[in-house]
Amino acid sequence: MSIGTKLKRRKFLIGATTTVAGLSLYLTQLDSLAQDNDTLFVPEASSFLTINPDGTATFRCAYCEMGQGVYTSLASMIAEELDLGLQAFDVIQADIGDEYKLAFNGTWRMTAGSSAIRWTGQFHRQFGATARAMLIEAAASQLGVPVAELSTNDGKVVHTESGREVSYGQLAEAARGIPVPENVPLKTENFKYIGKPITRLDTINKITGQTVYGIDVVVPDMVHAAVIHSPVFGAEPGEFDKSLAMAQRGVISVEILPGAVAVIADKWWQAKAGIDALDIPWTDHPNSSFSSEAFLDRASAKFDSVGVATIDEDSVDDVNEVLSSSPKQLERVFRVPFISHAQIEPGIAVARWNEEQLELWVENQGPDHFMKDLTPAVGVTAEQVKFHTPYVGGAFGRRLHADLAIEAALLARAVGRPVKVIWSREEDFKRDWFRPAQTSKLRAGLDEEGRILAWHGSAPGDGPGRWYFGFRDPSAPLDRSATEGLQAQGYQVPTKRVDYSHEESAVQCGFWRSVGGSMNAYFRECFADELAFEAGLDPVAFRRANYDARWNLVLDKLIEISGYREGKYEVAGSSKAMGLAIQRTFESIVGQVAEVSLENGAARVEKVWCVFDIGSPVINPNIARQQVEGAIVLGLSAALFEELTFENGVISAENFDLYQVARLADAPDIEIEFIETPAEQAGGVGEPGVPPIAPAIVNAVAKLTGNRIYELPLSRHDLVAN
Amino acid sequence: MFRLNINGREQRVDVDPDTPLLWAIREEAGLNGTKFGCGIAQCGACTVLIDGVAVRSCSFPTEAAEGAQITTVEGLGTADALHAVQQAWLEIDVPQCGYCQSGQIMAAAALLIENPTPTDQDISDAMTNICRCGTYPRIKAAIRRAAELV
Repeated sequence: MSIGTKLKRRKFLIGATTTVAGLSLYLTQLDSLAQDNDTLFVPEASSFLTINPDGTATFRCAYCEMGQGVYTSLASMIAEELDLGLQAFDVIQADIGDEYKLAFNGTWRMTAGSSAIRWTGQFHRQFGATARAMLIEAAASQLGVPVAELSTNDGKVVHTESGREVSYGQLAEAARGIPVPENVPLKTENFKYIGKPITRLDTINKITGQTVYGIDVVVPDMVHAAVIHSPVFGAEPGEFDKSLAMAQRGVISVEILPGAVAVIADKWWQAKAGIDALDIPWTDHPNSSFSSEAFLDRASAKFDSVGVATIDEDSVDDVNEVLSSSPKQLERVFRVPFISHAQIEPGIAVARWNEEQLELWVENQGPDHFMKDLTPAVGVTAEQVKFHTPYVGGAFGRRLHADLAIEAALLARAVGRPVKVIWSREEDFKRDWFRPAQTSKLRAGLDEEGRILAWHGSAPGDGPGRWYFGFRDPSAPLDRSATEGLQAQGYQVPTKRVDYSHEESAVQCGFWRSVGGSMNAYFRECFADELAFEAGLDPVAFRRANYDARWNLVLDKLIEISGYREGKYEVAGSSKAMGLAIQRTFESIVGQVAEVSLENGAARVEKVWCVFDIGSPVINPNIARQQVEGAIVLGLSAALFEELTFENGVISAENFDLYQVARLADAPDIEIEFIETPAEQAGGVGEPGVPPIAPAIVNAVAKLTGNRIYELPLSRHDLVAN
Repeated sequence: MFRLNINGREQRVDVDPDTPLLWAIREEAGLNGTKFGCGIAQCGACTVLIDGVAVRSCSFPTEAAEGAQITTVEGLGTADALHAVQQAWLEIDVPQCGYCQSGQIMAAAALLIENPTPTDQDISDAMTNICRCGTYPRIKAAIRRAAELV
């Protein structure tokens, strides 16, 4: 079976470690080495897979484990082809290094975009298969038998005829200088791991409190730092009396950081007490006039501007002309607020200097990307930095940013000892990289049969595309994070366009699980239900009339598993309705139906059915289901409850008392079905389950109340049955 | 100086009386399974048992824990001897990032001590710990399973 990937085949060699009598399989650019087959000794730290004499294997994964199960999935793909038991694998995230850039022809490494398996899964299988072929050849040489007489069995090469076997770990010497075979065929049957609902490798430690997250890292001679940041972005600490903190037990020093103050102490709680003892004035800053509502109002004035850039989606004709000449037209404006990642482990980083070398223990979704901010802030280059990545206590996009690493590095340098920075929950809220607040307008023209003739989306705003990649440069290109998912997608529309224009946010914007999809699906699919009404069709008939074949398959399956029905109905004295939505995100087409009732002015989501067209075989159905369940819960939380506003530059909520999120009582029953038919592009799993839930819920609510809802979260509205 | 009984072991911890028990457990006793999430008893990541009752240790002063039996996740069960709740968690493969799971497991253990046959409503009422990865459906299923195993 094939899994779509954008990866060019890499060439790699087997090398032997110099320190352990194990076998180190690594990846390196061949053209940077001597072209003969000299033995290559590679430091263990740069190896891709090290097989130890005791039969265990250390896999240095290019991606971090933040709950999405990538350690298990990718290890499984290697284990399957290599024929080494999955339980033998110990997975860590690889240090920074070009050899771990596995995506985009060896140039890119980022745990993002639900991309690890669809972009690099095939590579991991090929790596395992090629390594196995080389180990067989090494064994042939060591045992003095032909390759054809050898097979493998769970980490051993076996010569059945003589009953001899040799473990992979014992083949280091014999493996030297073996040329790398090309095009080693992959398994096509008898899969042990791929396609099976294997229990995750990290579960046993996570249920016994053994997993080491960033907050659990202990480094000898380490001290702790608590930090307080300015309430308003950009403000700096004024003059204050440091002795109030210094008088606290265990406090070592008070340090000034950009926009913040840190207290260093032996223990974190002592540092926190030191921070709490201080009375810090903050300088004035223009951002103190920032209001999130005013920001959205300003953006609203830009719906009709062409703006920074325009996306033309193979558009036929001018969208305004077709719109104005359409028999029916509709336009609607939607709004969503800033929301927080609010991952349960707050921000942490540990830094240790050794002369000019910096060692970091920090959760990160890509060490290379950290360098773009580490270098100017701290003055280090990639060669000077060693990254250890602990298990990540939730990310959803938050751990793409180097801010904590920078603080830890600066403090460790100032203090002359290793420093562990832990942000309190309040600081984590204040200094999140928020999913931006967004207001967008959708316009569409319909013919008399309810087919969409023209589609126009306008998304004025700000977003992580510019904040993260654009370095706040006004000449940076359009922010696709604002427009992705606002397109016509499955609706077959001949004339269409999506416009972006920039409206500056004073608060930093980040990538929040599914990014543009997290807001644009709500805009798109609630708009679609209104288009259906305008066309005189029910939501299903409208979609059927406009979808292509693949989307109709998703729709059909969704109706089949949910028993989708229109209108309100009674079940055991409770009034319910179903809403549906289908959205493509990161190449997966995901449809959801939500069954909703109303209770005390709020929506109660009782059950969700999900059809997930991933366009390729599912590698681990257990993990894939976990991801879709979790995505639905997170998206539901945002739809029902989550919002942050800014007034006078100050955030409205700094903890879970004021920032409401979904709890177990809010979680619906969930049914999921995957469609694994291979498509041109394989889809991702981690994020695409998020976008459809908000519009599915809101479309249901509209049937219960008789009112459409144009602004989230639903908790802003008093929902009353009509 | 306080004498704490953690997982059956007496430990002396030298902290101020109002230091939250969470930080005595983590920074003095060196047990990192109990997590810091919010500091205001909202998220439950810090949940431990005190005399078999769930307590959010981030908001419980160390002083008040003297003389009580404190159980952390490390004391509930180990890989070689899983508690029924942990066994159910493993069977159903509940954790994703896993950071909230120590607290979830301790809260579930406390629920089953108090109510060995909880209804779905009992589970919803008792289990208010936050999980951002959205493992709630599996937590519900695992508690039902654990009730069978206990």
